[in-house]
Amino acid sequence: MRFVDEFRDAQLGRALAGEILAAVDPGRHYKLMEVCGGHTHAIYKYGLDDVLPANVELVHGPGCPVCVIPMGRVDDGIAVAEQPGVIFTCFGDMLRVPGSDRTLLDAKAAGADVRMVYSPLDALRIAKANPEREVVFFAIGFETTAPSTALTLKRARAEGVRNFSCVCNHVTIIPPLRALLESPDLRLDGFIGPGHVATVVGARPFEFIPADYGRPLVVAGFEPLDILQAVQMILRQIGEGRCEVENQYTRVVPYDGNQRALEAMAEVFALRPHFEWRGLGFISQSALRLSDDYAEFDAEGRFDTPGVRIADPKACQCGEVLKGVIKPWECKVFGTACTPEHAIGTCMVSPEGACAAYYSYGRLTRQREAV
Amino acid sequence: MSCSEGHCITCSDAGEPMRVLAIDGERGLALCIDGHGAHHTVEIALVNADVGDELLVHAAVALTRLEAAA
Repeated sequence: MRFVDEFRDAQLGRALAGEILAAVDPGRHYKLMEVCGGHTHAIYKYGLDDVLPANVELVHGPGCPVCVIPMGRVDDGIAVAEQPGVIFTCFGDMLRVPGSDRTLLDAKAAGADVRMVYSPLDALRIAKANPEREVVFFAIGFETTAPSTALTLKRARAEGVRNFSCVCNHVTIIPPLRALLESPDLRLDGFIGPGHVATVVGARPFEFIPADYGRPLVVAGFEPLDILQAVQMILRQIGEGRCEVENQYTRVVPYDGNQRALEAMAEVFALRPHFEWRGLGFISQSALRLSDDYAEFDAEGRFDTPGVRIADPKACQCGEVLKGVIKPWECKVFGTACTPEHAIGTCMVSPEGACAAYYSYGRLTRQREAV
Repeated sequence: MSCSEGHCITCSDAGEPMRVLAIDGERGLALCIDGHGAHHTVEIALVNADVGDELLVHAAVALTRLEAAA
């Protein structure tokens, strides 16, 4: 397919790897964070870290929407799903995220009507087909996904669908990045920016990273050549003493984003004063709720939820993985008690989670060999 | 929007390129085909789309037209 196949060319990949090797200072260690879980998945799927020099380390960021959902919010979703007459809908990976004592899949097995959808628009169709039932959509995701929820709610209102509501867990990418940059745990040399979040918000909102923190960021696509080129562009900036936001993914990302999407989000959502992120704790103004104008579609207003904060299991080190402080295989339960089939932590649930990516592509215990 | 290769594209916050086959302007929808040959109904309220365009689609919503930003 156009825009895909040409970005998987092995010969061009080898050429880029050579340019990266030429750009690095052998006496220096480079720590680059790929913010997005989609990048993490692609890096291990295509073995990209194996073609990078040993002194270029990729650190995995918090941009996996499933991974950052705290257990208390999962419990809230299960409580809604178990209400009589409710059809509860959510994306696929969300079904397997552990709450305090079970998953949505467990609730489904016990009789709750939980259904997987590919889009909130599918959930709205279910609501229209079942007017006697309450249909709830468990909304997760960054700014990539929030527009689809916003458009769905606008359609629900326009079509007068009253039996549809959302548990809104949408989060925004800038506040956790700022929190990570403020963290004393981590020193990073640059960022591979999230290409599809930037499709909506643009590259401009990331300008604070070079301006305030002196780190380059390159917005990147998700094919192997996209990621290698982004690494090369970051290293070139460092080598030339530059520090700015660059857009590698120009075939998709307009520098100022998608204004229609931003307007739809501004109409339907409002910022929450604070929101809990798994492993990162509470971060101010980092998540979205439904705006007052759309409060009638807020499932948290229609149904009682426990609303209790649940601490992560002691053995789980997802927080340190999400902050890039440890590698997945350094976690005490990685690949033993915690596997994709029986996940303890969220990073093992979604394949975009760093732990699942390491596990699925065989990075079980070892350090990377030097190139 | 389908899940492929064992992972949930929607959960990964990743978009998928699709080509527009037909447009229903009245309902703001397009019939699209993805790289695996599967057909999808896609909401096109956020983009200006024509038949033959390549769109980046996430959760059944087109987020951008690929040529537009190139």
